[in-house]
Amino acid sequence: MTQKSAGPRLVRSWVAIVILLVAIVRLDAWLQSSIHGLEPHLNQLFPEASRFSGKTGVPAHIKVYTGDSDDEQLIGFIASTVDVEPLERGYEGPIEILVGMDTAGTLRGIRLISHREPYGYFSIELPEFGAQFVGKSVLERFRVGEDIDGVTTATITVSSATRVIRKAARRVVREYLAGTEKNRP
Amino acid sequence: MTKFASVASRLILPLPVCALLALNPHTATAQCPPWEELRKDESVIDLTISDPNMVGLRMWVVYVSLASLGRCTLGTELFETVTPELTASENHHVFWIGAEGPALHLFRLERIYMIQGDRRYDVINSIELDTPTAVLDGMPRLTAEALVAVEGLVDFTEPVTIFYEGEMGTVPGEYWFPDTSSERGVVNIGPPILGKTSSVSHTTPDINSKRGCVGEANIPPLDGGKV
Repeated sequence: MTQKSAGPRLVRSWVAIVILLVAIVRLDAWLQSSIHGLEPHLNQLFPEASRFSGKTGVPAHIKVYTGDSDDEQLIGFIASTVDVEPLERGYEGPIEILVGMDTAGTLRGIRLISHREPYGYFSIELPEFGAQFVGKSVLERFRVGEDIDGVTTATITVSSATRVIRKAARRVVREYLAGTEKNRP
Repeated sequence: MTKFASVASRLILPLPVCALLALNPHTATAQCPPWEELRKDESVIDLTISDPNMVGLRMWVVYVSLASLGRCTLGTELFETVTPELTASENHHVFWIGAEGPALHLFRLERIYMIQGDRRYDVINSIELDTPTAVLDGMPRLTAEALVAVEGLVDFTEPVTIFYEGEMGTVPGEYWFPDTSSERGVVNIGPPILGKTSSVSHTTPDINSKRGCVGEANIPPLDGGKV
């Protein structure tokens, strides 16, 4: 009796394993699809990266790795402002910016993805606006007129962009630090 | 009264309070810092609707649920009058708003809301005030004043973003709360609690500078950006 039931049980185990593998593969594909189209921006923020995870975690962010699969190291995070701060907005709507930061909380840079700000073209689209965030710590103030140059008189747009960059960076780094603290022996 | 006609129908203010508001007592405590100091400290922020040529509407915002700021902004007597007469709840947050500018007709209190993280807080109640009501030394000449209340849990170590949703676009302003060690949640606007007649006694702590407070408080490192 016992011997008779071993066959179907084995089949069931194999089916479960196959389903699990398919689910893992599909989950990975789904995660990767969450960053589809962003690769050029991600590579500009972390040229040394060997792999970018899909968007994962709360708040959603992309993990950045170097090294090969045997010796992979987490070197940073990239967060989209609209994922992390979905209710924030500028004058005309959300300002989507990718914020790259290393694990010590230093910004690697930002990449403007989309916005509808009327004066965005001569404010947050200017390279000099983004350049001032490179190397900034998340502990800094990020205040327009103080440590951030307004670049132009489009103050609402510049202030809103600066605000969402600071908030997104801090939330992601805070989550990472909280996780590190939790895992400490 | 002011030109907040659109919200008149929303006012839930008992008659005795209206009468007391009309008396408009103007006495602030001697500890109150002047307007400019509060501006510098960001206890007062502005939301400004403008085009390149002119300022259309400028709204000044102060968090008056904090007793020290509430007393200094509204005056001790008005602050204490409003407090016991109106519903007290820890999760009500009241802001004083003063407005100025030629485009005052654009101003609608229901267009104000605030966010913090994933939470949104809409105005649940409002009171128009006679102008001038606020008693801060050196404040600009205003053409409208009001109190607005929002409801919900707020993390006082983090700023809120206050939005004015205008016809052309949204004007945001970031508000960092003053020192959280003082009283909070004592000024609330809403329907009165029946039978609640006893007055509430308040102490008036000094208004600490936000910059000064941060160094003294035990705030996690990532909040250091407000210093």
